[in-house]
This record gives sequence, structure tokens and C-alpha cells, in this order.
Amino acid sequence: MLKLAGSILIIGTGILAGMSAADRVRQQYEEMRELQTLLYALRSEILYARACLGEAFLKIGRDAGEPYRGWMMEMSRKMERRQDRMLSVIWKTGVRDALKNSKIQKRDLLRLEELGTQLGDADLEAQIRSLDRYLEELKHSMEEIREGMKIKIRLCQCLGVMGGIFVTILLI
Amino acid sequence: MQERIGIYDVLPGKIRFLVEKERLQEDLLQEIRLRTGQPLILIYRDREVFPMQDGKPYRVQEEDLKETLEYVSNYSLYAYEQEMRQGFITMEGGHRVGMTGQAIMEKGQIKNLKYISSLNIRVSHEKPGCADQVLPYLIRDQSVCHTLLVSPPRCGKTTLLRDLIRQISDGTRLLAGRTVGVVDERSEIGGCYRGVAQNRLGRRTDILDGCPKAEGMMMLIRSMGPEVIAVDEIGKAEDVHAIEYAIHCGCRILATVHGASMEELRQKPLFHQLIRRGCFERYVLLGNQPKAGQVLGIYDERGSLLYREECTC
Repeated sequence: MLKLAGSILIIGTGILAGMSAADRVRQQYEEMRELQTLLYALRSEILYARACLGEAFLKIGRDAGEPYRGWMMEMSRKMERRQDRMLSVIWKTGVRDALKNSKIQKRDLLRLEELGTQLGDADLEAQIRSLDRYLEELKHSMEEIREGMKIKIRLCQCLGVMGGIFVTILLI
Repeated sequence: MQERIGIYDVLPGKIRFLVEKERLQEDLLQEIRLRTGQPLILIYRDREVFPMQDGKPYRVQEEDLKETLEYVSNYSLYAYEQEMRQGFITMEGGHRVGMTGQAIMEKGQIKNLKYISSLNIRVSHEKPGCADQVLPYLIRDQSVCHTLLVSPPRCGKTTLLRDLIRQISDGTRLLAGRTVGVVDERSEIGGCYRGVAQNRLGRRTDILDGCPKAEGMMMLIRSMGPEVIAVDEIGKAEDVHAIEYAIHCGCRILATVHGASMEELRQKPLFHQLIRRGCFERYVLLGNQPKAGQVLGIYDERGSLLYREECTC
């Protein structure tokens, strides 16, 4: 009876571990999608409203979920204070601090840091092109993840179950 | 009102430190001039001050200009494209930042500036009460006369206009409060930040910020019912036509124009017509000796002198 209960618990743990891993894959995709939405909003604020970046970050950040909300609000605050920092530094520090625990792929985060060096300039068209280029690259990354997502999720779940069964057999 | 940004806040850290070391009275600071490779100059009480570093006048670096521009433009130069075409940006508080560099031309017109090599931060000051001596001469039969403030640059036209707007809007013992519409094309009168005026313009004042004067006057007349319309630096034919239209609609006009004297003003074709037709009932001539805002004369429509400020030199 005890062995049965233990087996069920171990298999259950394996299943949960598998679901958790699958969930992380899903969250990674969701976070990238949210980032994409935010950057489209930023593009719109720059192109149509000609809003200053600080205002745009404040407006977009208010409606965003974490970690993006914290990222944008903090950047807006720093820009308001103008504390001896160029925008590229504020942006880069913001990405590194606020998004270090996000599930976005490292290469996309590095490109995001790079994006900050191209914003705020007088040349509106160049900025929009930089934003569009990043959004295009982000879209490719999201497509790669989506294509492999179903398989990865199923794999995680299966591995979770199989892992649980395997450990049970070992222990029995 | 939101907390306004101090003028020193838009300077790079090391320049801010040097300027603060001079311990100047901020309300007497007139200009901060930054030129790449040249000494930093402050215009204070009509005199030049050279902040020192290691015993020598501090020389402005290219990075200093870049950083100042970032702060002045809220890190968003693209949002000021229209203004940069005219060679300046108006920042929070109504301070005007003039700039020179290389013009980018497109189809024979200035599209933008690049390689900015000089910045001139003209500090805007509110002087509540500076219109106390002037306003009584601008009132006739319980009504505000159509008034034109005339002076060369840096003589206090906008400062005086601002206080006139405030007093007319709030009312004085001579005049009940009036609804005032302000077309603040360059954001210098109200110094609007995020739509909120940073300068005191009175409780009955409506401001159209960043709007061209001619269109702005029409919009105000159609929708806000102003009794008085105030505009700064009229000069184009459409501005003058809009003023004539506003007068015909029954609005009283307060306007400013660049000019060293009435004679010089009469030589400008647009204003020659206005003066000849008696559109304006009062002309206030300002100078900057011995101080900015010195009233050199208030004249009626016939050119008769009504008032001249005593020179306390």
C-alpha cells in the first residue's frame, strides 16, 4: 500500500515537473508576444503621436504586465530626472536589470539592448526602420518557438511521466 | 501645477556643477551659451560670466552638446522636427533653446539640422506684476484696447505679454476678469508641459499650445468664445489677416512684434497697413536699457505719447 502511494507521488511529481517545463515554454512565447505588442505600441506613439519617449514609456508601461511594466516605468522615471544619463545607457541598464529574469532568449535580449542606441534621434524614419527590423527578428524567433512549441510541450509532459515511472521502477 | 524642470537640469553633470559653483541668482540668469570648442558663457544681468575649471574658462565639448540636446528634447529629437526646422526648441517652462549646425535641405527648404555646434538656452522668467504700470493705459471704457507690444529681441515682450494676460484674465480693480484665448505657437507664453501651463496665465485663460497663430485664432473664435486673444511674434500675412478677422468678430487683441521703433514698424508693408487703418489702439514700445522691459513709450492710435517709464539709472 505504501509502495503504491509512493509510486503515485513520484509519478505525480514527474508529471508536474513536465507540466512546469511545458509551461515555461508557453510563457516564453507569451512574453515575446507581449514584448512585440509593446514595441508596436511604441512604434505607433513615435510615428503618429510624435510622443516623447519618456511619455510613451509611461503610457505603454501603465497597461503592461510585469516585467515590462517595471522596465518601462523605471525608464520613464529616469528620463524625467535626467540624471546624467544618455538614453542608450538608460535603456541598456533597464533591459539588463528588469528583464534579466525574463524568459526571452538571450539573443533577442541583446538585440533589444542594441535597439536603445538607435532611439531618440532626430531621424524619425531611421528609428522606425530600426524598430521594424527588431520586430521582424522577434517575429522570426517567435515563429521558431511556435513551431517547436507543441512538440516541446508534449515532450516535456511525456518525459515527466516517463521520468516518474522510471524512478518508481528504480526504487521498487 | 506639475513640478517644473529647473534650467540647470538640462545641462550635463560637469557643466551643471561649474554653473552652480558660480552661485548665480537663477531669476537673473538670461542665457546659457554652449559652443563646441569655445568657452562656456552665461549671460547674467546683461554681462558675460565664464565659469572656470582648473583656473581656465571651461571649453564646451561635442559630448556636452549631445547630452544637452538629449535632455532638452526629452530624449526625443524626432518629436521636435518642426521646431528644429526653425532653429530652436522650446522646452518645459517656456525656455527657448536656439541651435545652429548644418542645415539638411530638401526641395529647397530646411528639413532639419545636423552636426549641432551651438546651443543658446534663453531663460524664460515670470515676472508677476511687471504689467502693473502698463495695464491702466491699455484700458478704455471698461474694455481692453487692441494692443501691440513692440521691441527688439530680449527686451521683455513675452514677459510683459504673459503678465498682461494674467491680469486681464483674473481681473483687476480697473477691469473685471475677461476670458482670454492664447495661441502659444512656440510654447513660450504658457510654457506648457503635457498640456498644462507652467506659467501663471490667469483663471479665465484657454491656451492652444504649439498651434500656428492664424489657425489657432480661428479655432479659438469658433469654439472658446474669447473676449481677448493674445498672440506672440506676429509677422506673416496670415497672422495679420487672422488678427483683422478676430477684430471684426469682436475680440480684443494683444499681440507682440519685433521692431526697434514705431518708424521701423511703419516701414514693414504688413504693419504699415495695420497702423494706417488704426487697427491697433495702443502701441507699447519696450527697450532693454537700463533693464529688459523698460517701457520707452505707450502710444495711442494717433501716435500720441501716453506714458513713458522713468529711467532709474
